[in-house]
Amino acid sequence: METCRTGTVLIVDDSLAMRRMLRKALAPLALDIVEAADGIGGLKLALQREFDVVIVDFNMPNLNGLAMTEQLRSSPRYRNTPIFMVTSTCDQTTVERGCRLAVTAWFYKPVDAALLRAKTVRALDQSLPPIASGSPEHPGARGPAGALEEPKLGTK
Amino acid sequence: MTNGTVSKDAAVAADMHREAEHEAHCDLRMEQGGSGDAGPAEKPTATADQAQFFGAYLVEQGVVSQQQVDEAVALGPGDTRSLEDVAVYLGLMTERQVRIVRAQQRRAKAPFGALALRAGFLSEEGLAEVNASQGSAHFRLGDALIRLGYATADGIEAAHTRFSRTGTGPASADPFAGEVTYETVREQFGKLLKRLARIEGSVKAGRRDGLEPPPGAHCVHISIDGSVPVRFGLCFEPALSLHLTATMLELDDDESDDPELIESGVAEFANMLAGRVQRALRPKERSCIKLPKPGTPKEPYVRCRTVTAAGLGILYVGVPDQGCS
Repeated sequence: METCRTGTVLIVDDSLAMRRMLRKALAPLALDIVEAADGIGGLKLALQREFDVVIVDFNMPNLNGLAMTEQLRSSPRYRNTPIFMVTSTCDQTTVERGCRLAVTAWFYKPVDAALLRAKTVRALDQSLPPIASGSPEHPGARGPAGALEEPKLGTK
Repeated sequence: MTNGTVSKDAAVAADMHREAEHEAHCDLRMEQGGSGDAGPAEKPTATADQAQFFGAYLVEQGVVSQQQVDEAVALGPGDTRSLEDVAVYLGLMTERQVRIVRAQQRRAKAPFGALALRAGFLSEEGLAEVNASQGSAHFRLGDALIRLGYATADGIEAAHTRFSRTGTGPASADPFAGEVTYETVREQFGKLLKRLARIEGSVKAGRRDGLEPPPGAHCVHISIDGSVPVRFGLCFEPALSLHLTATMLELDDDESDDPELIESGVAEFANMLAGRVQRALRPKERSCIKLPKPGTPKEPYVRCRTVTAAGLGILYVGVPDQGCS
């Protein structure tokens, strides 16, 4: 059942069409959605406010989705935030790297709107008990939100 | 017939439950459209041998393990998808169209397929494809593997495409030889165009040498880096660019009449097409899709393919180095 949720979502995609598509897919949830057109812009926005869910395109200029995720995960505030990766590629090495960075879910394009909404709702509803943060064995495990550190903006 | 929204939610919930069981191992499953609802159990129309044959091919190709195939086969016929979910899975209907037909169905008490035909959402050819897929042992096996989280929808589709092409199972010795790349691009191009632009009927390709893009055409080219690089370009006539973008974004044509949005929509189409080609050609090899670039390529691409779909023209710029056979 789709109902409205409170939450903020950051959509980072260099494609205007994809940003429009993702925003439309999430529209029934009436979330607060903010967009960025590349990884660097997305990181800057993430510095300004805390988002509950981040949706990142894999293939972007300047800073790709994995590099952006890596930088987000280096910040205590985003260590446990659900990050969805949207991609048209399926290169196994890439996905394995995404796993190491604790990408929460991967979506192939064209993204199934119902599945995206369901995953977003679950991500927003999910509240796991906190465990010690900074555990290298559990990079994706939930921990107490820390202060947001300035990520190192760099291209890879 | 089950209630669409509830069954879809239930299917998504079931998918999530299965996924949760796998998450701890960070399995490589990806999300993609087509979490079907479990329709009423029905007797399989194809033999288990057919499923095993396709299963053996999937194992040989390294898509799944034999144990996973056995598990999927053991799921049995109760895991059949409903006709409407198959239609969506195949890209022949949108979820919105399914909802409209389901609403009509509650009033008219008529079969889903008949109502979809009457509404013009499915062609007779499309309905036949849906029915064939729904009863196909290959489809059932693939569907079960997807539901179990052992394979992705695109992975199964790509494997089935190769399987169908070879006919007897194993892929040809050199899957990148000759026209395979071109054929793969064209094949995936037609499928994706039908799915995203909701074009019914066939997408016809023809040969015409020396064509230049028409005025106002939206052109994009893209490449996949890897041991066997793939490059292709597309040019869409303005009316089709508009239609494609509007349909992809579920907007009215006048809502999507924004040059930047159209350019972005066409580029995204090329990106998705590159992803499909990549998966079809070398699902296990490391490769990288480059960002789509607007305009026609500077390289000597072969400009020899025209495609007509729903009366709207596309100039298929083609892949380099393969000539116009």
